[in-house]
Amino acid sequence: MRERAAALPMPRTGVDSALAANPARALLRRFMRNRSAFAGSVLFGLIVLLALVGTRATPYDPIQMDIPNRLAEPGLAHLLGSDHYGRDIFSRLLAGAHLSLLIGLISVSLAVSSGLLLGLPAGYFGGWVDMLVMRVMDLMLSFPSVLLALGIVAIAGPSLFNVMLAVGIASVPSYTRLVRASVLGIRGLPYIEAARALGSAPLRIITRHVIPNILAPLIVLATLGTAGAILTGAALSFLGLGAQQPTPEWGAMLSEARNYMRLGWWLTVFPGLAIAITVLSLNQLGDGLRDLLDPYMRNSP
Amino acid sequence: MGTYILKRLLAAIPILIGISALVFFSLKLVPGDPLSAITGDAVIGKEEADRLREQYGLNDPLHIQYLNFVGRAIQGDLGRSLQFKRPVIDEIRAQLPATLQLTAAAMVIALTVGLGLGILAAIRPHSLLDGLTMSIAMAGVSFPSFWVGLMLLLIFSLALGWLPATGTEGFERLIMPAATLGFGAAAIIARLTRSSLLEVLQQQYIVTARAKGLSFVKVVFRHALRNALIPVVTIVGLQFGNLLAGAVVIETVFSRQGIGRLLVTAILGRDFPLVQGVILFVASVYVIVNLLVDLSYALIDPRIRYA
Repeated sequence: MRERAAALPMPRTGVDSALAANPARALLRRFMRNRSAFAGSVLFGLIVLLALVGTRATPYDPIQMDIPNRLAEPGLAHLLGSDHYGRDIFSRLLAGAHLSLLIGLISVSLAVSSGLLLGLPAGYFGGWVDMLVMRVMDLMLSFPSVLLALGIVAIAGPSLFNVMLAVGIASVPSYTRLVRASVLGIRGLPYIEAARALGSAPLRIITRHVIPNILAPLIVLATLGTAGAILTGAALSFLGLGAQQPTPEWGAMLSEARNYMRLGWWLTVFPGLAIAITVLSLNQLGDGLRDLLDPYMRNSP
Repeated sequence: MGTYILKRLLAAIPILIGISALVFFSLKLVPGDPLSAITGDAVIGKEEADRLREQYGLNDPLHIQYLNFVGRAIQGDLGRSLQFKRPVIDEIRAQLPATLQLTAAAMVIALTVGLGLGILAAIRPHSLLDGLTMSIAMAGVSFPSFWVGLMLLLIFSLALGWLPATGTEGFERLIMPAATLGFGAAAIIARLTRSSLLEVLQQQYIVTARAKGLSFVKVVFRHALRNALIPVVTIVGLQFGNLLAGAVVIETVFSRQGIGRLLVTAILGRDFPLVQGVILFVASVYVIVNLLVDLSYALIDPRIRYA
């Protein structure tokens, strides 16, 4: 996570000739041509679609046990097999998809909004605000982020919601640092100075001029961060600290399947594959977006 | 160099103080009577409770409690575990060797595989080999480590029967956990090595070396790698922390002993003195390792020493 932040694009400062004519269309064209961004977004879109379907309709009941049909091999009746309680694994994966996405969405929203709230004033005003905010962030960064999340779950108690909270809080420092660094990069530029000379209040300058110009690196970090949050969330559920039985959360499914893995390979293969594909799609999208939005890398091979 | 080392050492002190304060005060946020953290589930009378409160200093103001906590921690006293009924430090000491073994082995794998793949990919950018190694690296950062571990178990223990599935003792029980843990770090190291080496290979002194007639391999290993590896060194320190934290998951997957499993057991059992002790211990180790990395960084790159 952290090492990624270093490689993130700085806010766009120069004029981009490709954007001059029709910025939106030019960006869209580059997006379609970027294989990694395109493939990632299509795959992730498909997963979101499946998650939406999954909250309304699944082939079988994802919770109800069906002992006579336990441990069915993958086939026509059970596409991905059934587990030790006879529950259809495909239905459980569908029903749990929105949980993984929610972990990513909620924790990253929390981290992004906190990052903006802390990083904007730190970068824009500097001085003691900056000192205070960054010292606290340094302190949080002196814990490995998974350890920080574990500590927060230990205090708040094991539950899926607390996992979202913990993963979100643990990643606040990366976002705060990125926002602050981006703001520092544009703070002295003429258009900010012009806005100030015209008498705009700081709040207006920040919302109208600063935020739009630091969005690009923030979007990249948030995309990659969502992937990371889904991974950490699933790991905490796997440890029994997040979603509890019989919730069809993917990490919790693996934790349960681990005890029965001798009984059938499909029990452990598919839930993990679901996590892997979701995270992979977001990482591809994030990598692609970084290439697209980073002016320094745009013309490199 | 001497002043640099001294400066870095002194800078680590406030961080350690901050960590201990954060750990101490955040665990005070746990709802409930702090006395129950000492007595556990045992039912005791009011007089006994008052006596214990006095004995453990729970009537003191918070900042005094904190100072006492730090004072005891420096002497190696991290309190007593509620579950195991013995000092936290003894529990940590008993579990530490297994975790150190695991993280060290994982680091060796991560460095060998990560550097190897990263160099290979950078030497022939945009080739089939580059595509393949970078796909492996993408899998390394995207696949959940606990799932990779389960897949290794499925293949090498259950299907082929080559390696024992669980346990702590012996080399054959270390291979799969270390490989699983090292995979993620290897992926990050490979990606960074590739991009860093590609950048260095475009520098003019590389062109000069090539123009002199040096072979490409020599240029890469003699001239380019030295500079390309500087950012990699920083990552290694950060990755060490991730490996320690990752051990929490891996030890659970393979039912291995270690600090990680100790922490999970402590959290699930609401054993707060143990949670507090393990987190404080791991975070301190992490700070010290990063300090050492910073120092070695100065050794490698003179620009840092004199900046």
